[in-house]
Amino acid sequence: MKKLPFIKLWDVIIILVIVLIGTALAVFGRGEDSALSARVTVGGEEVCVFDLSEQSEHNVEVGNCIIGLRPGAIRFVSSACPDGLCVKCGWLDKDGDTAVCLPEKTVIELRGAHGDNGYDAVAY
Amino acid sequence: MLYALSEDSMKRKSKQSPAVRAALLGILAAEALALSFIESLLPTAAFLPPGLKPGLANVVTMFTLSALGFPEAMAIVIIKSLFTFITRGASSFIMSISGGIVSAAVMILLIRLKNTRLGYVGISVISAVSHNMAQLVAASILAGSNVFRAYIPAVLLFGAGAGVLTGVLLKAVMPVLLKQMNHLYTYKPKTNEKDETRRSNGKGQRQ
Repeated sequence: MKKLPFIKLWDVIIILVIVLIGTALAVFGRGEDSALSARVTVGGEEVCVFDLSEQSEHNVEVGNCIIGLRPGAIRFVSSACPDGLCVKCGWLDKDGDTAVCLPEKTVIELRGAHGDNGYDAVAY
Repeated sequence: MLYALSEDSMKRKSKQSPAVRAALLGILAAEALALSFIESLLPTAAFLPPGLKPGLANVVTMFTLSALGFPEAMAIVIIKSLFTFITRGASSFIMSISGGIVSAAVMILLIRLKNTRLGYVGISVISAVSHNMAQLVAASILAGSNVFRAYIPAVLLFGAGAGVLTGVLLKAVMPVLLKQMNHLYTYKPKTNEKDETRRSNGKGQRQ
């Protein structure tokens, strides 16, 4: 019977490559700029864009979700979804931050001063 | 040890009655469900996006894949996804099954590769990362929006860590899982004295 070894050199190389790519994307992909606007989409359709610099503290209802706003930040306050992962994301305030409520197909994406950080679509 | 699917393990499997195989599969499925339930009790780490889990049930999937085969591993994945559907709803089900099927397929490809240069930590890491990637694709389709940009770094880093964890765990629990399987395979119900003596004299004697 052919036995697989526990760990081999290539395992270590693959892990290092994955960690390097992940770290590089984490460092360069996500700016630490504060966000200026938040785009809310439901099922891929853009529903509204909030200018975060002009928001006072209040809640907005989008579909079955309640979205909370305050100056410079946005979050899911509540949602009809069963797991509530979107609410657990908490306040989003950095360029590139994203919170997704999958059951409600609702996505909040934050944009900073540089718009899209250089790209607006990625093909896979 | 993790065995690559070989004629030997297939022969051993086909010698068993359907009832024994169903029982073993049921036990493995229950173990996978228990692991994914325990995982759901873990608190979310502050620096990680919520919803990321180490995928401990992959330990069971990987064992099933190597010891029983691909259809059996698929059965575990589907049972686990149905459980997710009942407890957490349709979108969780889609996330669970997309990741499960893709990672099991990647695993079987890597295990079946001849002259593979990977050990099972590597296989476990690649399958964990592909599990997460498949979920990102599913999430993007479900949400109708590109969610890759925000989640890819976390998914890669966390997937690598989770893969190492499941690989190490698999090594740790492999003897227990194999013992459980062999126990079922050689189990004979106690009927009479004669049967009892035969069992103690020659282990695993079967007609």
